[in-house]
Amino acid sequence: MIFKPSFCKTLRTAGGKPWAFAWSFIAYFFALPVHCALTLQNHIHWQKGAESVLESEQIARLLQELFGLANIPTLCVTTAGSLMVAWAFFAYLNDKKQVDFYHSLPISRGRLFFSRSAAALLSLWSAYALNLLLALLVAWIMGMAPLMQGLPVLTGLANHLLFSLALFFTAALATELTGIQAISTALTLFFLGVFPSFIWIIRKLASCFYPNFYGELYDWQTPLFWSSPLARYIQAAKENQLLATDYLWIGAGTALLAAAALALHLRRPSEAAGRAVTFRWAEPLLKYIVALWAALGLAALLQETGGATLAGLPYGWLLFGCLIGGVLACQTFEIVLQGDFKAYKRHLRGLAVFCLCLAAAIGVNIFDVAGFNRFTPTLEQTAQVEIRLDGVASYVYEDYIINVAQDDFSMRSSTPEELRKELAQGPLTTEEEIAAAISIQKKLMAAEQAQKNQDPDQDEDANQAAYRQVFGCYLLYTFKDGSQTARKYVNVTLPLADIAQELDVIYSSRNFLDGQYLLFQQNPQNVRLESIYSFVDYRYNQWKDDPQFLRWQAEKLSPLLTAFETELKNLTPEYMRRNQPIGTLSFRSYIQDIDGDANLEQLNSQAYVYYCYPLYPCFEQTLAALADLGYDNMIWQDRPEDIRRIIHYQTDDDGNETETVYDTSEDIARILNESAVSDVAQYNSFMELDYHQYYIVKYLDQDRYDTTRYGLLNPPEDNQPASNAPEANY
Amino acid sequence: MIETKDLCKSFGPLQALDHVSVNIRSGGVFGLLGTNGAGKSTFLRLLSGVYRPDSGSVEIDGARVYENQAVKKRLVYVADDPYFFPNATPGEMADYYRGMYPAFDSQRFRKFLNALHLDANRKIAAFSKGMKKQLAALLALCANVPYLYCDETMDGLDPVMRRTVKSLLAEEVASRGLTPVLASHNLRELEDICDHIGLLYQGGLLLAQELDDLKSGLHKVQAVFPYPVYPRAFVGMQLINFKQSGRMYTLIFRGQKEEIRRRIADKDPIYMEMLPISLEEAFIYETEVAGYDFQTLFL
Repeated sequence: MIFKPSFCKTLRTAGGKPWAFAWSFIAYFFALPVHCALTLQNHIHWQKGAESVLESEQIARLLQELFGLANIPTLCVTTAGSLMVAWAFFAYLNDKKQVDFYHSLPISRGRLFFSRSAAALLSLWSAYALNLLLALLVAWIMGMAPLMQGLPVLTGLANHLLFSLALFFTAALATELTGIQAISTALTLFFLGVFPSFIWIIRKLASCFYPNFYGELYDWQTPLFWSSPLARYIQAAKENQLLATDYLWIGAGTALLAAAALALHLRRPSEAAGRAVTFRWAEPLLKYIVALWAALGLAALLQETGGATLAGLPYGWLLFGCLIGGVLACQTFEIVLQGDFKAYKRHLRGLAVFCLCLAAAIGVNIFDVAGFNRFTPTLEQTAQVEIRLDGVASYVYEDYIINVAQDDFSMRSSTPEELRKELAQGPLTTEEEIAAAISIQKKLMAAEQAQKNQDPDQDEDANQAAYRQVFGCYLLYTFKDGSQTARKYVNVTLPLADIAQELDVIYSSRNFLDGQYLLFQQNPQNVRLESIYSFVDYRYNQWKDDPQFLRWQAEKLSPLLTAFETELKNLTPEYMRRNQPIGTLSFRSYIQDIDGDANLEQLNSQAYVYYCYPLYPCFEQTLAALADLGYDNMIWQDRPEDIRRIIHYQTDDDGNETETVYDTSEDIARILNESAVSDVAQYNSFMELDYHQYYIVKYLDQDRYDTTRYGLLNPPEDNQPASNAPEANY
Repeated sequence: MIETKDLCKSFGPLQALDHVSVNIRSGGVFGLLGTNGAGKSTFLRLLSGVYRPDSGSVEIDGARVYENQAVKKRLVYVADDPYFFPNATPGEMADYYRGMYPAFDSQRFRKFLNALHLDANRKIAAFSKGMKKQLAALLALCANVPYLYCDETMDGLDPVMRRTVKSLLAEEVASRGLTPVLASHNLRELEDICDHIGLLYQGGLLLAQELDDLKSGLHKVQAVFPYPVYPRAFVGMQLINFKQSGRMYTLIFRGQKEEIRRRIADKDPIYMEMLPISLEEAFIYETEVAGYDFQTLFL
């Protein structure tokens, strides 16, 4: 009884803002009950009835989508609502009349802060709670009573409210620091976005100054997501969960924000209403944070969009962006601060010092004072090297290349820890192997330097040729003192022949091959085939993506895996350089043990690591194993009797395209005979062909559907058009 | 009693109040005079705890005001442009004040509202500027607190209403010892109600005196002498002002009335008369003594 009047009185001091509750209620109405009704209706529609949704996995998923962090509309409303009520309930600080009124009343500033916060949050949260009840009612009415589970619903509510608190106090903090509502709003958004964007900017600039910096090995996401309540909220929604430690950190961060906002509230001068920045000490702090952000942000943006040079000056765009961003931000800040355009002349000395510091920092990075880009380790100091090569499995034919990422390990590893773990699987440890790795790095550095020195406009053919011989390399050195350093070289023009010896050494390392083809280190019971992919036509579009592959168990896959491992590990760099893969095999290795009788839904919902390796024409055992499994058509077998017509397209050098239609059986048979043959033609026809000339075959597939296939024509002998064949245009 | 000691407040480069020391005794009406920008509103905000002093102190009955709820419960500040909640009615504002000030007299408030023909259920936003000021004054009076600060409250009221508010204030002072501090730039507005006056100029307090002391200490003499006289003829007397118009001299002295009369009589004037002095004149002469031109202060 004592609490009630005191609490009500405290709330009354905040003054009523019924519109805040009304807005929140309407917004949450769409985010919760309406969203719930739509989702459940959709679910029932696809499940053909309400009863079939009662499986526990589906209930868990629906609970997350409707009431948990995965409810994106609720995330949006909570974010917008938290910021809005904070701005609304603390806006009195920016109005002199209201400040006179409230600060002359017999209420302490601390109590004003708490009453305002409580009133603001209650108006938002009560709307949330009411709509949550409505949403549960909707679920019950729609026959989804199993969704009415107290704990998950309350956990979802608590999660959203926790982030709501963090966002609210961020906006409150920004409002305490400023005395004009528009600036409070801008500062709140700046606080929410500045630190994540700083991380993005630093990463961009790091890759600009240090192209060999292997950024993927470092964790950028964690600081990014923890640098702003909004970023963390979005990540939590993405991950769909919060761990106990997350609650601890988010709670601590929210408490810190609240404490900072309260401290500023208690010290905020009443006369600060109407001033851009309320505390004198905060003016330079905010000014230079904004200026640094603007300078580096514009530098990164212009470098990204403008290119490496400006009027021939290396890093020209970067320097220009830095200068313009810094100066504009500094002096605009002064204008806003003073509310006077003439204030652009203020603090010019500070601006000069800021620009000098910025220039010095950029200079240190441009001239690579620390020697990061020039670094190559010595054989003596290196304990081991983890290496991954990109472009070795590329087939080079005359003047064009088909680049095959034989196993995109960097895509497979979603986190830096996984990538490091992946890299660490096949270290090179002998002196000869380490020397080969260091030698490759040195040659890549030299090639990169040569590329930089080349005038991009001078020799277009050379550039084109260079483009066709790109090579990439990822290195992680571990030194004898335990420290590590990593480098990456991407798209470097380096003919593989120049590093043939080094590649031979590396590919003869069993350790390396084990690491390179990690699939074969996994428990065979957890390995499943995902797809067979054949390159038989122009567009690589013959997927043999039968979902039933996933159900093939270890016993059935064993011959294929054994043959595939043997033949993959017997590949030589020279062979890979001279021969194009005819397809790929993709596998999944499940992280946890899987049940032998697992159904497709279970197999698709469990976590796995994806592996994709190339199939070469020499893989006779593998192809035989595939044939035993019923997949012997790695070659596209055209059946003339199925083909209705062939449309032949020709494109000349100016890009003009002409088409000819052949629909007689004689013409069709003739064109098929002329389409392709080479050393690997039994698997791949198009490598021998000019890509400017291709044909489309309209035929009926086995199900008698009208299907379109693409193919390429074989160049006629001696560059002469074959008689009665479509004229080739080389 | 309200006591300020060396009170200073500045806003950036502007020194709004500069070492202001004044004692305002309880139960009296203190008039704070000054031109626009003299620092009156700043002084009242410091007295009511809205602003924190840069240096110096503000105490009411020996306790500091800033962030002191107990003291602030004993004062109401009526701003020049009073704030009311958006869409609020006088009745709702009275409810809010009752929550803030436990001694708020609702019945009296209703009575005053009726007397002033203000509708308790009408939106305040629809009120005229004068009506809002009346309402603010009524709310403050009905709060039943011992200290009331009014910033230009009479400004915008019609003469009848001004007189009504003044009589209400006088009644409160007489009945329960209210101590109003009234800030205004209009000397005549305060003359008939204040018994203690402070004059602020450019952040400094030029003078603070009892109104009676101010008037009674100064004496105006009109005299005609058979010979020309000069200010040096009054050496030994506190001559404040000396004016000559033909053979008629108008002299302002500070001191005892009889002593001044005797000293003038010693100079054998043809004609001599002691005249009453108005508050405005008292101010003119006092400020001139302090080296200020009254015309520049108030015109």
